[in-house]
Amino acid sequence: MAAGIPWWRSFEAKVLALVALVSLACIGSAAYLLRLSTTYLDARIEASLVRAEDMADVVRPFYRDQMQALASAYRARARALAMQARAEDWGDGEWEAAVGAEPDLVSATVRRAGAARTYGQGSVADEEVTFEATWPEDEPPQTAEVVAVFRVDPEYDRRFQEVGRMRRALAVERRQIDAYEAAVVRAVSILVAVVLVVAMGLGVVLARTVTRRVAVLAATMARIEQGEENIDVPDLGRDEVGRLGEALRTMLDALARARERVAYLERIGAWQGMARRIAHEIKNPLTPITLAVQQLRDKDPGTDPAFSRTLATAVEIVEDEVGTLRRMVATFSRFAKMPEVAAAPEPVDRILEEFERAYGHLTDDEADRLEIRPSGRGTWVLADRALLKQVLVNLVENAVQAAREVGTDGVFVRIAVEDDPDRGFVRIVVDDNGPGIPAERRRLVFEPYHTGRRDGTGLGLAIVKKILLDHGGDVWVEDAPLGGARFVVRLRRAEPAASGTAGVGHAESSSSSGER
Amino acid sequence: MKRRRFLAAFGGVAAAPWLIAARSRDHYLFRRARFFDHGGYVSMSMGFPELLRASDRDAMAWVDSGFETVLRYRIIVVDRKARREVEQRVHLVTLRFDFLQGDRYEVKARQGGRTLFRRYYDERRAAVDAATHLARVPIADTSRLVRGGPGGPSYSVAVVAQRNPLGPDEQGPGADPAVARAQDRDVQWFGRLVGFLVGEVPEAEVTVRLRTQPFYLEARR
Repeated sequence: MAAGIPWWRSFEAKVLALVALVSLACIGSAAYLLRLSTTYLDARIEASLVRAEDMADVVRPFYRDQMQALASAYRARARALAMQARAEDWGDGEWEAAVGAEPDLVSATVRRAGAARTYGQGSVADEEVTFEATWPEDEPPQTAEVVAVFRVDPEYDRRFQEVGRMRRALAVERRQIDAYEAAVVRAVSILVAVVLVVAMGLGVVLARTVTRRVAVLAATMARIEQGEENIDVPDLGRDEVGRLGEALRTMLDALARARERVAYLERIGAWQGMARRIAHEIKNPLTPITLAVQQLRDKDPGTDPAFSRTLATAVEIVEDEVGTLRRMVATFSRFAKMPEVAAAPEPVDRILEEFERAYGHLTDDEADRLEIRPSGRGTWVLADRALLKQVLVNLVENAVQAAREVGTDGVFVRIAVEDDPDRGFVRIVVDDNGPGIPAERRRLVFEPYHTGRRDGTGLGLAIVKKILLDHGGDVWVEDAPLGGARFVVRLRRAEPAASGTAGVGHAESSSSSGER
Repeated sequence: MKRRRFLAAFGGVAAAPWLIAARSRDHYLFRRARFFDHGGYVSMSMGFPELLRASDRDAMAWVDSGFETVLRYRIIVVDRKARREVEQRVHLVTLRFDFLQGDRYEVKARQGGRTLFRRYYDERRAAVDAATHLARVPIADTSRLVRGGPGGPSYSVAVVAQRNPLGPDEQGPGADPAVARAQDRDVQWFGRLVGFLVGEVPEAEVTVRLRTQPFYLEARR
């Protein structure tokens, strides 16, 4: 999280709050819609249950009327039996036969002359329902003339009680319907909440993958704002945030290179000023020194051969050293007065072709060889033709001189054109089979007056780098496949000029000594 | 850390009502009963007026409707010292208005598949009293009990009395196993979740759980 921002105001908090809000809205709306649905269905079900209960209630009066009719029928049959028995003066046999003739007549108790006699089964099973009909009807069974016990079909009561159980079940269902409706709403809410919590968790995880990376970017920006250098932007993925990080990384790299370039050019500028003064201060006395020693030599009378030899040797030495100083002064002057770059679109292959024509022999030694590998694709670069040739001359002479110092037989230098990973740039690669440059010195070799050679001025590679920086390009050292050093020159790619001719550059300057 | 503490506190507060409300459903009230030693069996007399109150209009209407009101008494005799069940019986009483038998109330008691009595009452109150009071109802054979007097084994009785116990098809939507089997697995699972959230489905219209004072059997001389 960026410093100074409270958590509740952070981007992450806003995203989490949004995810939570959406989740709650979904739960709330789902619960409401479900409640609506269940209430509607509940009303429909309630109406159906009420109708079913009403149907069950309709059965009751029918059953009551049926039982009352059955009771009346039994009483009528008892009366009929009694009257028939009285009319026909039944004896025991007739009564037994009458009871046996009617399957539902369990027994008949006849009271005559104070004595009672029972005809038929006389007892019933535990669960059997019976009806006792007496005649006369207004007499209790103990005094009635005939007491007939009829077996009632249990199906009447069983069916009626079955209706009762169904009626009770309907009542139970109605009472519980509200509880079940509430439970359904709770169950769905719970399930929706579980699903949404899981979804929210995933959403939070996904959101944090974005917010965390945004926070990293914000923190990096804050560090840049505070002037911190050498900031490493981590890889932030392949999406838009990742591209933002990549762009930031590219920007920081460009910023670092620009700072390095500015610092280098400032140093070069300082060194150029010093070189100008040194050249001026050293150049002035050289001519009087040369004239003075020449006068000495001219004034020698020649009377003393030994003195004459010593004088001649001394004059020769002084002249040699003055020559060296003159060359050094010339180098300093060239360094101090490097021309402005006038870059224009140039065909790189043609520049290399011209270079090869001028310097293809490399040295007087036949064993030394220069190889040119053009791009072959008509590559154009934005360059000052003359200064670019001077760069190539410096680099090739450096390679030759470094190889000579270590005694390399058959110096081989190869110049090739390659593509740069950045499609807006082109590389010219100079490989050699010399001693190479150790990794710890590869940045130092471009510093003015830094040399590893006995007779170097330390300015050649500094001139190369300044020219290329002024072109908007760069130069650096790598390991070479040939075993020595590889100098990589980076130049801006250009579109071919409309006329097809090369741009106008400066006149070619002489090569200068370079150092490694 | 503050966020975690807040979330933990929130979770605790949300769970508190559930924890507080949780309690055992098998909670027995105490009521005194009278016990009788008949030599071969022991009987008990005890009242359960809360099963069928005259103030319960729906229950009284049901009694008058002709449909049966079933009172189920599950009588459990427990050895108090050994803390084990000695004998369990189900005493079933049905009460209804009988249109056939001269518009009277019939009270029938059955135990172990055998009818103990069938009585008829002209007044509903009398019929209700007879149905809700266990009068010298056999509860255990003395062969299952140990005589020992005051210093010997003691027993108590737990009674679960229910009015109109509900069968599986009467316990509400989704409770019928046959119905559950007819549905696909997702609906079955959802039904179980709903059943869990509904909570306890009533076993009967009214359920009363009572336990009696201890009793013992005198030693035979």
